[in-house]
Amino acid sequence: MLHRKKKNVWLVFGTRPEAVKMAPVYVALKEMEDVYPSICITAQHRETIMS
Amino acid sequence: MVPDYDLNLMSTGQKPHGIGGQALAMLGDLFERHRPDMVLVQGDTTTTFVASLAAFYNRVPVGHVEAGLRTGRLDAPFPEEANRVLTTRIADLHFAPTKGAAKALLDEGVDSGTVHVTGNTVIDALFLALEISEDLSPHQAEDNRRVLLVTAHRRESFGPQMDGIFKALRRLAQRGDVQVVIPLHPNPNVRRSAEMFLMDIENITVIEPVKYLPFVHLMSRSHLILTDSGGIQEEAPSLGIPVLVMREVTERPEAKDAGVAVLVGTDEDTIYNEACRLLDNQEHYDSMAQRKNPFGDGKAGGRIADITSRWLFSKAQKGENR
Repeated sequence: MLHRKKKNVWLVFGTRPEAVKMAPVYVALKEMEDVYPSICITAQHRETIMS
Repeated sequence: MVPDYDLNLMSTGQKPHGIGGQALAMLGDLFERHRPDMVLVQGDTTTTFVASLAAFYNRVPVGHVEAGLRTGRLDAPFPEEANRVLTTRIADLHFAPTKGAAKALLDEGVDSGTVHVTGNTVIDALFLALEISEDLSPHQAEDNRRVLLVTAHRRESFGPQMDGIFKALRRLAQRGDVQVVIPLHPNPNVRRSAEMFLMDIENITVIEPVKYLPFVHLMSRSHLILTDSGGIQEEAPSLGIPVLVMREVTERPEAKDAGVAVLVGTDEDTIYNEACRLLDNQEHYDSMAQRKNPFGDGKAGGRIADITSRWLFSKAQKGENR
């Protein structure tokens, strides 16, 4: 197997509903071997939704 | 979920062009500096569109979660319809929650190879939330009055329409057999209208806005939900709770078509009569409370992650570095 460089996927959002709907995508991306997620938020809705 | 980057923009009282302009500049700089391989955005907010545009300017590919929702009227809801249409024009991958949403994209000429029906991630989130959290929601039922949960906050509902909604709620509370629970949006227009119609009325409980986890539990204990929110129309069917949608148009016809929601608009009598029909006619209630959800099966997140990863690596293989 060729070594594959991990891909960085950014999840960008600003409101709580977006955070809620992105959480399952984040959880799934985190479990993948060749991709890693980063989170970037724009607005003041920063309470932790799910760890 | 802890943010890696935080623009710390104040959204309270900000106009879309103000927050959008700032976010575009700041996100553009961040993408230029860190060169993500892909940016995922969700839904139809100003952030959704502006983050897509900032990524596009930096030649970073964009994936759009919950793509293809449409009312067909660019000004309703405002500004969300425009945000999602513009995001579609930019995105490389479109994750449609339903077949209907995918069809809307194809009808607009979006390349079918880039459109994927995944289900809506809100259903994944709902099951996850009920599983991981305790029921700390406010207003535990003290007697067996049925809880009628109400949320109303859309920009397009402000003004006379909102008054119709609140008058209907007052009449429903006067029936005496329901407890109306309404978490109130901090928007001053909504608050003013609510205070005129709802304060000090028996069987109406006005509460502060509720965070997501307690809200999910509050929802799961409700008998009936009246809402102008899109997300709740999608979540409630998984819990077997009928929804009355207090809007004139909807970009989610699937709920109506599946028989788990009814569009009642903002007219006082229509809202009151449809709610009474559900409260008084058990057969009608059961037919709407059937726990079949046209919006998703709770596995959307995994599908989106898989498709994103495969797309990124097949692109890398083809040597496309845009």
